[in-house]
Amino acid sequence: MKNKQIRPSKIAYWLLCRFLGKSDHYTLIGDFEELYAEIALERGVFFAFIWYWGQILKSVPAFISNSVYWSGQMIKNYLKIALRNIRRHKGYSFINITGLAIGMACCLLITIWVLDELSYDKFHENSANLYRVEENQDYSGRNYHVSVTPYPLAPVLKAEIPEITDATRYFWAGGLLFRYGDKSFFEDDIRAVDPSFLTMFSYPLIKGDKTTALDSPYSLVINEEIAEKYFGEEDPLGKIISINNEYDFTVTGLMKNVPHNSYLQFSMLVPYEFMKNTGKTRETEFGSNSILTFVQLDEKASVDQVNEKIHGFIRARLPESVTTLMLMPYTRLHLHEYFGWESSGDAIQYVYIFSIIALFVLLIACINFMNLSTARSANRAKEVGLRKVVGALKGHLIRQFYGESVLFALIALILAVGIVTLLLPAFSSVADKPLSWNVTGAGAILAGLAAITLFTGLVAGSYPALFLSAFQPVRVLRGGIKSGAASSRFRKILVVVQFSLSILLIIGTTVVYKQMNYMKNRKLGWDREHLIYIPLRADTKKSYQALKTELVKDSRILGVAGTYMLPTYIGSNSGGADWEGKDPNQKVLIGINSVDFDFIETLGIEMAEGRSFSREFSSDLSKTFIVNKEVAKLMGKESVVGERFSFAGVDGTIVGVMKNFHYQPVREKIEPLAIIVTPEYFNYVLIRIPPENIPVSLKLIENTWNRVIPNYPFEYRFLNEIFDRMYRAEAKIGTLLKYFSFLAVFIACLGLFGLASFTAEQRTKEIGIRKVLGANVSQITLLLCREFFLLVLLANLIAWPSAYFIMKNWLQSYAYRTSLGLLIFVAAMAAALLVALLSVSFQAVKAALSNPADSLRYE
Amino acid sequence: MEMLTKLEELILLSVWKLKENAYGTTIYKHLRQVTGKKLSLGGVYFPLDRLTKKDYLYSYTGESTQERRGLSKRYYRITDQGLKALNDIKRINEIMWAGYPDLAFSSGKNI
Repeated sequence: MKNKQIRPSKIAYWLLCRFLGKSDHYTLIGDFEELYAEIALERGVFFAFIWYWGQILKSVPAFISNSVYWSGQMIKNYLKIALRNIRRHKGYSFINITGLAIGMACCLLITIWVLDELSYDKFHENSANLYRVEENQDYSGRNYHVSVTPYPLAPVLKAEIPEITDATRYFWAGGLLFRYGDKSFFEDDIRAVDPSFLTMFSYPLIKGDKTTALDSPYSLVINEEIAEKYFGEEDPLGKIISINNEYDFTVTGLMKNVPHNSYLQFSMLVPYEFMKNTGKTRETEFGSNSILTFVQLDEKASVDQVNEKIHGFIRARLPESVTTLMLMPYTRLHLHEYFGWESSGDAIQYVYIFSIIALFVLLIACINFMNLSTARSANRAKEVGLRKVVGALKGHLIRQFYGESVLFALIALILAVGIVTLLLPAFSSVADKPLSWNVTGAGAILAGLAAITLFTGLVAGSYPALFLSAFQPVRVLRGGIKSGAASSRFRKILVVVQFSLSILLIIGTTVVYKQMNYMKNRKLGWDREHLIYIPLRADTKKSYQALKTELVKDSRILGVAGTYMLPTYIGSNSGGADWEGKDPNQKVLIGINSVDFDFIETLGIEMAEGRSFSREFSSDLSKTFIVNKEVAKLMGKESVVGERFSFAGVDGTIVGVMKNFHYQPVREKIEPLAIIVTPEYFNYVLIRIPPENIPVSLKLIENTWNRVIPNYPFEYRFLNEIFDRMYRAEAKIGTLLKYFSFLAVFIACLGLFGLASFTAEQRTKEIGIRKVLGANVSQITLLLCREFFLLVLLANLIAWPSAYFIMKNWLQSYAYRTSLGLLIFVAAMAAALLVALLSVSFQAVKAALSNPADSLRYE
Repeated sequence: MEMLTKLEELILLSVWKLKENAYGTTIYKHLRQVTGKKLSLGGVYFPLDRLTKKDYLYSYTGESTQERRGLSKRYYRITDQGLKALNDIKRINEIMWAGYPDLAFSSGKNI
């Protein structure tokens, strides 16, 4: 037959079969063959051959869209089945999806917080070349790190070190009285800087020229908030503001509000020149440290070389100095800044802790999801069997199961994004800073989370997809397929991991809380209740004595004392103390505070030895010292009262020794401290009032103030407020930690709950038979709970040692720390067991109460 | 009424025209003849499937011939619903085209 010779090529034929997704593609190929034969007869085999190929290539797009359409139909079917599954197993699906969603939301929130922490100061164009000059002071083998530097340092560094292209000083310009028209306020948030500040750092000016804004000593750069406060809608540029009723400042720049992720926070800038003119700077002293110094290095400069060059900079000018200089990269300040005797690294520590928690919570949620999906899929063996009977291939089932679990995971992801968006405002207030999706790197994190979601979905779907799809339909439908022992062991391991992490978090949170309470409740050594302070600004210092004399006339005022620094934080210190018999090589650093006579009585500090300051001794005015026990220890003598003590430029004697009291945050060790009566340095007045009738006492003080100092507004604060603010960072961290651990435990419990109900279901018949044979409810409940009980116990064994080491390490950074008692661990175990039991027993009791007739009647 | 694409409309009409002899090859040939365009054979199946799914067509497996190397034909017939759809289309087209002159030899500007 002629027809025999005219056969299209085998490849073309095969291609056709490939492209035709439809089951009745044979009729289509028949159509092709028929046309081919016709053309071959009319115009020859060769032409027909070309035509055939051409047709196939031309048909490709149509075929592809056709097969996409049909797989679309299939996907629609899978989707329908998946949704039906969700509806049929509402409980499971709810637990599964919400668990994962909450976990992911939690992880996302933490990640946003962490990213925000990491984003600090990255917005400066020169951020890579900016450094802060810091000091190491060497005191008899102990290294004291400070960030404050001498006034004249910045210009000298710039002049002498070629790699330093620019330098600026930065310090608090004090509370100044601003007056514009009828508006008058004390402004605190002002910094004095060199003109180069605005070009080194990127705090953009909306109006004004950043290169010249601070050139004149009476120029002022303000932010939008201040502009709004004084000028409303008016253009602030060129406006004159009177400061301290003495100077007229011209607004030369309007800057954007400093973003929250800036280490430096300020709302106004004044030129350094102004502070110099007022005589508040010590222009020649290289020995006293008061201000911050920032430098900008040349792009090509090596930090190590510059560090080497500036190392002995101070000693070259003051041979007896203990100070060496070093550069701290500006972008590291927010997370790695430290002062004092040791570098504990605060902020970065929390970044680590929270990153780990985010990972934990996500891990727990993912494990949960896999666990539940695996557990539930065993029930679907029949569905698999039936699908196979009606013609599903293994590939179809694999696709279906994978698709389904990925779909679940994706729903969870979408929910999580929704939850995060809803919770961000609340979270921002807990975290105490404005957080939003537009933090740098959020996109990458979301992409990463999507990848994790996909991965979780795939792993969760693997068991049904790969194991169940291989079932022989006959065996499945006849019954008798049980989920394998291997998968149940896997699930048990997952539960143990989950609970170990949860217990770790519980213990961690408890320890953090315990430490915080310990610090808050630790006896300070002075009474911080009912103590107020009034800042003595500008001219009001001169009226201190008059104010005190007036105040103490009233019996309702229990004590009045001026002081240089508030007792919540005495930060000034000095080297170069001397006493008889001191080892000349011993270098010491002692804190110093200038106080008034009644300081010790007003605060309620206890004396260990000697006497308090008294007006009866004329020498007590700036000639005698009272020291704390640490100084006595430093001097190494039995009794130091009456000893000659030369310190801070005063050659005096010690008249008394105070018991140690906390004059810095409790996390710091109590260091040596000396106090001296020098009224010219007072910055604050401390006033003790009786606990009853506080408003009356406050009114009395206000009236007195207004009588004595009528031209300055009265302002006061309770010392307790400062105290609370000092622990705000810790309190914030504690709150966050509390929420996240709670969520982690909650998610783990959801998982356990689901798993328990699954087990109960799997063992329905066993329970039925046991009941028939005479088991009672409590026995069966016990039977079902025992397994989980053991798993949680095992989780405790794993969690305890790791929690012990981690928390022990964390507590090391606190000078005064709570103990890591066994009780915390036992309590965590009890808590874990209790919540586990609660989530399991509900299902167990339900199963135990069921009527055996129901569970057995199908046999 | 569900709107049909032009190709679907043409295929529906072809099936109706071809009566008992409407299957892939004949439909394809008819379309090519009427439109004069180079269609792809594969391109007609997708619309055919969709029309079937919409119940405008129904199909049945027919005989085979030697040219087809023994592979059977799949015949398509129009349903009542398909006819109704065609009627609707015709009606709409007539309304839409009513009053429109034959512009074969006049340029648009003269209207």
